Amino acid sequence: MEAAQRGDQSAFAGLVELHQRKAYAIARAIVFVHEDAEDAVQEAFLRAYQALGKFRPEEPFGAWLSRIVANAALDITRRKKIRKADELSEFLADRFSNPAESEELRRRLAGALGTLGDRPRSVIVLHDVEGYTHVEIAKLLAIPEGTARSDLHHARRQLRKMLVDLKEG
Amino acid sequence: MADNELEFTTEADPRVTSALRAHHAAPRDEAYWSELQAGVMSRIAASARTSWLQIAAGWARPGLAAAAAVLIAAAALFQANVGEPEQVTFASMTQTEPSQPEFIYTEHDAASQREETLRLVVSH
Repeated sequence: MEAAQRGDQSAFAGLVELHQRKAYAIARAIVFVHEDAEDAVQEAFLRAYQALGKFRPEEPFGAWLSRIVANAALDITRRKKIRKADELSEFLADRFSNPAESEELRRRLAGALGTLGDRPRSVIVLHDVEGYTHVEIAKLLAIPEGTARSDLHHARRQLRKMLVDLKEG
Repeated sequence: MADNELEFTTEADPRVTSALRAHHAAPRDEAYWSELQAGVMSRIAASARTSWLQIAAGWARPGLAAAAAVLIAAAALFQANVGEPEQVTFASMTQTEPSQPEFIYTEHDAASQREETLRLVVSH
């Protein structure tokens, strides 16, 4: 860490290797699309490298980096707000890669995800898929903890409502 | 907070969660992560180069201004040095020199004159 702070790029490469998977998971939860997640990770590490002078060694590097990744991913999400729900649903349906999931579930889930707002979608993925707590999600997304809880509740309810027929079938 | 916890208690749907997890699974191929790391480091290196270029560009304008000032000063000095002999020459042409005596009376000349006069008298 100290070597990286002195500008040693090979030392920073070690940090990238160590943290890139977690960074990808956070970014992917927020931007939801692989290519955008990759961009967010690269942008986040670049920002982290440029801001290493501000990093306090007493703070965990992973937590500091996670916030930078979340911010980079949120920036990408804001830039891409123009994407319509239908386009997103179609896009997501094409990108499901688990052959074990039924085609119907994939199609319906993709449609449901497309109707969720960016923030509730990020919250449900961070919580249910990545295992973050409400407190951690609140810090990552810079929202109140109560908002994170509320978003999770509404996202789960909406997905369940949209997939109820499928569940019963 | 207790109210929120009581209110927002919708349980996760295992099938939905499973599908979400499948969709969000990170690439497992190690080569992918090596490439991503290389991409990150390449971007950092490019950014560092850009930073140096920006620094250089930032110095370019003041540097050019300083060089121009030095050139102007050098040209002015050169002009001053070249102009000086010309002024002297011009002055030498236009100004009259301090009048020099065309004939300076000396003891030697006086003696010669006396000898000349004596020779003239003797010859007559």
